[in-house]
Amino acid sequence: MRFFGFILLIFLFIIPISFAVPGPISVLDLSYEEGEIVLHERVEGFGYYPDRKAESGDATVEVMADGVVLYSTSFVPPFVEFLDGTSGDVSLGGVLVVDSFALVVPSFAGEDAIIIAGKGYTRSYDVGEKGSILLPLLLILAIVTILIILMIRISRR
Amino acid sequence: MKGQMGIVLVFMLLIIGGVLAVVLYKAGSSTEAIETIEYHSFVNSLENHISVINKRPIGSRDRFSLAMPPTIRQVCFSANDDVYDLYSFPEVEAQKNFDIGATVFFEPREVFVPLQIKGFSTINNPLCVSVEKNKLNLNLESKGGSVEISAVTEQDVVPSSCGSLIYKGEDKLDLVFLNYGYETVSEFRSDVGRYFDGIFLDLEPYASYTDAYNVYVVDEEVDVCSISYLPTQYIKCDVTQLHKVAASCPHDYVFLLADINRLAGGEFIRSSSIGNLLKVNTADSSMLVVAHEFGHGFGKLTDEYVDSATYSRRVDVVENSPNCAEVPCDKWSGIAGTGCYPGCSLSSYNSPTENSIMGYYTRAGGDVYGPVNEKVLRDKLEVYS
Repeated sequence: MRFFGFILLIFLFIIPISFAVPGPISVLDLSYEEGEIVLHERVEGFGYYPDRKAESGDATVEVMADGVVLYSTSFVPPFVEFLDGTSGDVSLGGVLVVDSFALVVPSFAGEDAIIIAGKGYTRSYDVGEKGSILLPLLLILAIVTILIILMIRISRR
Repeated sequence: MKGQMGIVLVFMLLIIGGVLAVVLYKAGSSTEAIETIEYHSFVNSLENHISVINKRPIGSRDRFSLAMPPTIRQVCFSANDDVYDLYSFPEVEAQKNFDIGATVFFEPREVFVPLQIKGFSTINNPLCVSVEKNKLNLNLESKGGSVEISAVTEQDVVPSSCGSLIYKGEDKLDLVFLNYGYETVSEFRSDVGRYFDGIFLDLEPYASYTDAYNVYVVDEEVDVCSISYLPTQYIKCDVTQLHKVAASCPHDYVFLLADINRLAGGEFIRSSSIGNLLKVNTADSSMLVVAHEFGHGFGKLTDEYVDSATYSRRVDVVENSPNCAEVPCDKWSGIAGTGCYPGCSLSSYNSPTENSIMGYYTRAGGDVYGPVNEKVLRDKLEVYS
């Protein structure tokens, strides 16, 4: 387990160097519920994600694997869509209060959780692949098989 | 009488013919101008990509899709004379003999002059790569002192539709332009150039950071947006799918350019900004609407005009903005050329100047950001310079 964590840490250091290269990404479909950001849907794809270097908001998104943070970013959640236009000399503006927005983050093999945090709350979402449930099942099956073989051999003696 | 009619008819035909000739000539010269800009963008981008990859550790590899003028069908790279496949590409051989020192050649050869770009090598000499859908797809690999160029093969996974127009290096501010409703790619590319030049090269503070921007385009029209008329006229999109399209390019900020004249028959539609996504009505009578929206998206600035009806629903947006403050306007105390002018999104808040791009940008004083907004934007641009 420690070895796995070590490997993940190495990946964590590699990420900033290689972010300019296209790779697996997730587009997070986020919405607001009682003032908190919730993950509505995650759409997987391939490409790039913004670096958000010049943005320091009070909301964060973390992509996790086995308790290790693989990617973390802070952002300013958009509460409104600013609308503007000019028709001749007439300016028309205002804002639309929005209830959803999207965020692009990198995706990793083995990621199992996405954590979204804001002022005074943290929400965790299980995004592990269904295949990962098979691993303990296969392990149990292997142990049972070995036990059966051993029992057959002992009974033959 | 018949003779006079004939003369009038001939005269009219001559006038119509003359007008047509002038229109065709003008159209042709404007297409040539766009192609020349695209050609120079390609040259700069290729040189910058080679320079950046060259500085990386040996073995570092990256893939690029460079936007090309539509008339170019093929690009050939020939960095040296030693191993040369003369029989496969006799035209390149002829051009090499004519343009001594040239290393990059174009087909058709008469359109653009060959280039003398240094610092690269190819396994096949020459390496000729076909332009697909106005894009040149290349792999660049650092070989220590030089960069090896190869063509992208079908096995390579390439984000399908991204084109690089201007590349200044890694860690720059990546701007991607998306096409919504344009009849032709050249019209879309022409608007990309118009907005990028007009805002990022001509307007302060952006003009002081001309090396801070990479520009990308997705030529294929997006099909996840529509014109919404309720609750107001604006461009409504499936933002999740739109961000997925934008993700085919490096993108810190996404500009959806909408040809509203085609989409909505010239009806008044608002441009808008949400997060890092800007939706632009290209029929808007002022180009400054893009600077205004980018001020919202990049600078997190709010409107300096008053719209109490809508802003009263999210007062926190005004509270947290760097350009609106309650008396005595402590947020910008000490910044020269500022004051505490009544009205900023809400009538109870104040603006740092009487007018600015974040206010009424079509009126007097609305063509500059003003000291406070400029400082906010400069601080952010410094990160990418």
